[in-house]
Order: sequence, then structure tokens, then C-alpha cells
Amino acid sequence: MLKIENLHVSVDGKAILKGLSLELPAGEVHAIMGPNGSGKSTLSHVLAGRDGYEVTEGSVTLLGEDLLDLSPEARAAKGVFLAFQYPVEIPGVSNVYFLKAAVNSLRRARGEAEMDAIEFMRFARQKAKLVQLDAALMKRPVNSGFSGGEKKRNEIFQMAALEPRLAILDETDSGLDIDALKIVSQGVNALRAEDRSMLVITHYQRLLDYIVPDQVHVLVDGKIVRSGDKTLATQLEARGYAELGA
Amino acid sequence: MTDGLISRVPSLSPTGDWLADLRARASSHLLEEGFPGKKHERWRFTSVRALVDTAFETTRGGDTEDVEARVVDALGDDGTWRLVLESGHPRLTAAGTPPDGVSVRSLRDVIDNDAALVAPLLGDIVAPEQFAALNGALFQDGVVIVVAPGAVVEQPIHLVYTDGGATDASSTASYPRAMVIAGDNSQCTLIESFIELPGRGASKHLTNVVAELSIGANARLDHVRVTQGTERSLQLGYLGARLARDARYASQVVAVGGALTRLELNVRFDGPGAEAELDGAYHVQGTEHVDHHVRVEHVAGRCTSRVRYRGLLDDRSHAVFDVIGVVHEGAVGSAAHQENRNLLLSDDATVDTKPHLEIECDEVTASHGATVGALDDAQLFYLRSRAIPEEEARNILQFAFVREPIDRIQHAPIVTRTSTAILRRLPNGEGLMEGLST
Repeated sequence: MLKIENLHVSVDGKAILKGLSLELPAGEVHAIMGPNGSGKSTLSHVLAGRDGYEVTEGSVTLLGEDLLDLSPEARAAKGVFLAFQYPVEIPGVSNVYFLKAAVNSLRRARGEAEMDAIEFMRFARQKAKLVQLDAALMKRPVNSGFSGGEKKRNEIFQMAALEPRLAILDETDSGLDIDALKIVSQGVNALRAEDRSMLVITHYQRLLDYIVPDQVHVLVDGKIVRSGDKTLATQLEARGYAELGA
Repeated sequence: MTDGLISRVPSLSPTGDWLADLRARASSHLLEEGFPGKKHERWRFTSVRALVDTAFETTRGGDTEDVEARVVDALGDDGTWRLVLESGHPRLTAAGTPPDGVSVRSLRDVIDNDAALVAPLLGDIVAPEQFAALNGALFQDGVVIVVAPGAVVEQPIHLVYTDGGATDASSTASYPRAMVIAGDNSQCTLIESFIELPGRGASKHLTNVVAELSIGANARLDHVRVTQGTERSLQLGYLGARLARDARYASQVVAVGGALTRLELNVRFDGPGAEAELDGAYHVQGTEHVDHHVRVEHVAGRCTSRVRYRGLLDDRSHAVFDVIGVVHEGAVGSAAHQENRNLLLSDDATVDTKPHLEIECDEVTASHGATVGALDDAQLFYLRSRAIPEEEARNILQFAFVREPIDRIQHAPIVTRTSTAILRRLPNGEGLMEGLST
């Protein structure tokens, strides 16, 4: 599904990713763990196409297609979805309008018919159930005044509606209490599918108790320094990143 | 100079008659002082040079047959009680009977037959100075709306100002005048729309309008003022509201385009416990220029004013926003808040914003602030990461920025019309209209 080869990325001339390689097969969930400053968020942003990151070397392909030359919206249309660590507040745009615009943009880009308002509401209500998103939040401006947990649930709600091929979950556990973490994880697990891959980026092992990965990669100083099965996460939690030292 | 606008100002002498005296005061003010220029603080950022050098023909108006039909074409049916003022002349016959509790008469009729009703207010709520003096010297007619004490009027009263569409080459001007007297304990919605009907020639049109609102004790007036300008339209507007005790005035001013659109809005609290919510939104692009000067006078205590204007600027457009809250000595318990936020979509657009307060009294709560910024990259990326194309994402964010004041408009068809007017001006913005109201 996703293939990253020897990826080098700089921000403001400073190298952050220094030769990262990763292969994520269809249907699998891989976790990327790493200490602060190791390049986790840079990776998620580069994959989603945010400005300000300079790819100096390497390649990223999704189903064999080059991603790096595409705009963020074109990547989304190809099936890339980023669940933000800090979901952005957009006053003046209702959550439901936003999501309808997103879903219909996706359908347009794929040459499918757009959903009308009634069709969309039915669709959205069904998706909202997955993360127990309060119906009142649909009418509110995007993420404005949402609690931390509501914001993260809203991300997974969007993921459910956009049905991505590749979902990148950037520190989805940050700012969540245990109940919210369970709800969000259940939502994510319900979205696991044969034709969908997930990259779960996290600092802590806690999330991986709920979203159990097929593989764990350890990112230190811009490179994957170790890969292994889910037990690697437990080892890391017990012994810390330092032992894996870069 | 003699060929300019000043050449239209007659030299008048006071005769002892209140109206003749008012006109004489207005004309002598202009003939002595001239029109304001760059050296006047309030006109520093808005040049009226080209305008005052033009000799505008005064449009006659009032006799074009199909104006109402053309207004319906332009505005649709919006559930309001609509009166068209063509070049300041109210077309009362075509408007039919106003809603219960409201009397609507032509200003000329009231002056001729019932002068005592307007004499204490006309030229008093809005002083005949600067361009308000031009109107004072030259107005021919207008409208007087009286809301009976205690009347609760559901249907909005809608004044549609247009010049009827002169097609010859000369520049034209009209000097409409409106007065609203809202009786004690009454409730009413006033909508003013300034539109240019299709079919006009390339000539410029100046609308020099004065509206005076007297809001009685415990009365409530909701007021929406919408200007949809073109590259030919010039507007120099004056709006004054005077509030008695416990009165409530909510105003939403929406200015969309126009070569030059300027409004001076003055609100004065005469009685305690009154409240004014003054919201506004403006959108300018190309070389359009919009200017709002707001002044709130807290004469009586325990009154609250909240001024919130938002602007969207593109290309080489220019917006001026100036608000002053004056809290007079003894106006204890006043609250005066001001906020102006601007979104600049181009490096060449200019904003001059100046919220300020003049406080001569303790025990006041006051705040003021202004922001000028660009589109938020994080928001833009968030939308695009959800497959929304960049242009559409920009449109969504731009409209979201200015919609807050528009959303405060209580009459849904006007929300739709003003939203649409702005969206139409964004690149491929029409596509956003459906669903944005949700």
C-alpha cells in the first residue's frame, strides 16, 4: 500500500528525517513510536502534503503512485487521511457543512455523483454512531469549543466518512482520558479493513493496548532504528528509547 | 471648482421657517467650509476629490413605470413589506398598505401637513455638516415611518433605494432621506437595501443618504442595512440613532463592493439602560473603497454598546474603519466594546482601522481591539487534507470569516441574499451557496 524509501526531509534547512524507509502492506496497522523530536509529526505532515517541508531525497508511493508531487487535496482523493494531533478549529463553518464539502469533493475527484443534503445526513448520522459523536456537534463550527476528546472523536468520524486507503493517526491518544481513548480506539478498530492500512504514530505504548499493531517501528533522529512485532512496544515502555540509542 | 458638486449647492437665507432655516444652515456650512478633504481627520483615508470635482445631475426619479417589477427581479420575494425609493422619492402607491401599527408617509407630505412630527428631529439626529449638509441642502423627498407605541410588527419594513436606472452619460446624484420614529415599547425590523438596477449606463451615481432613527423607551429596533455597489456607485451615507431609556437597537451593516461606500453611523444613548449591538461586514476587491465611521455616545448611564465589524479585502481594495466610543461624565455603569477584524487576501489591499475610546467617567467597562491578518495556513491545510480543493477551501474560509455579523440578521431571506452577494464575488463561489446556511 504505502512505500517510503530513503526519505530525507528538511524544515527551514534543518534535516529532520534522515533516510526513513518503511513498507506498509494493505490491511495492516503499523505503529511508529519515538521520542519527542524524532520526526514523527514531520512524517505525518509530509505524507499529507503540508507546505514548509522540503523533501531532499527519497520517495513515497501509494499503490505504486508517487505521492510527493500531489497537492494535499489530490492525496486525500487518492485515499490519504491524516487524523491531526491538533485538530484545527474553524469558526463560521459547521461541522456538517465541512464534512459534506469533503465527502463531495472526494466523490467529485473520483468521478462519482455528489450526495444531496438528505442522503448526506443519513450517511453522516450512521458514521457518527461509530465514535458516539453527539449530534449537537454536527451543527457546531468545526472543532470550535470542542473538548480534547470531542476533537479526536471528530477526527475519527471524518475518517469513517472519508473511507481512506491510508489512515495516518498522529498522536491520536494525546489529550485523551481512558474512556475517550477506548471510544476512539473502538472507532479505529471498526475501520480496520483488508484494503485499508493504518500508520499509528504515538509516543506512548498505551494506545497500542487498544489499537493492536501488526508491526512496530521505532523512529529515532529521523530514521527507523528498529522494527518488530507488538511486543517491541512493551519493551520500549519498560526500557525507554535511550537504550535503542541513535 | 465652480463646475463641481459645490455648484449644485444653492445659497439660501433663513426665513424663520424651520425647514428653510435648516436648509440655509446646511448650505452656508458647505459654502463656507467646503467639502472635507484629506486634512480633515475623519477623511484622511478616504479621498472624495474626484467626487467633489464632478457636477452631478440631480435625478428626478419617482416616475419610472416598472421599478417595482425590476426590484422584484433583483431581490426576489423576501417576505418583507417593500417600499421603493427611486432617487429618494417613495413610491407609496405601489407599496400598498404597510403592516398594522406602522404608518409610512412621504417626507414631503409630513413637512407640508404635519411638520411638528419631524421638525424636532430632522437635522438634529444627524447634524447638517459635511456631506450630511449636502443632503440637507438638496433633499427633495424621503420617507417617514412611525411605529405606534406598543406595536409589535412582525413583517420587516424594507426600504429599497435605487436610482431607477438613468441611461444617459451624465453622472447623477440622489439625496434620499429617511426617518423612523419608533414609539415607546414598540418592536420593529427595518431593512434598507441600496441596489443598482441592471440597465444603467456607464455613468456614475452618487447616493447621498441620511437616515435618522428615534427609538422610544423600551422599544426595540432591528436594522439591517445592505449596500450592493458596482464600479459606478458612490455612496456617502449618514445614519443616526437616538435611544431613549431601555431601548434596544441592533444594527447589521453589510457593504458589498462599490467604487466608494462610506457610512457614518452615530448612536446616542439619551436614556439609561439602553443597548446597541452594532455589527457589520464588508467585502471589497479590485479598487473598491469602503469606509465606516462609527461613533457611540454614552450620554446616559448603564447603557451597553457592542461594535463588531469584520472585513474581507482582496486585490488593491481599501477599507477604513474608525470607531469611537465616548462615555460622557456621569454615564456610570456604561459598557463600551469595540472590535474590528480584517482578512487581507492580497498584499496590495489596505486597511486603516482605529478603534478608540474617550472616557470621562469612572465605573465603566470598555474594550477595544483590531486585527488585520491573512488566511490561516493551518485551517487551509486542514480543509485541503480533507480533499477540498484549494480554491473552494479559500472561499469557505473567507466566507466563514465575514459571516458572523451576517448571521446576526434575524430575517433569513436577507441572510441568504447578503451571503449570496458575497459568495458570488469569490472565484467560483456560487457553488458554496447551497448548504452554507446549515
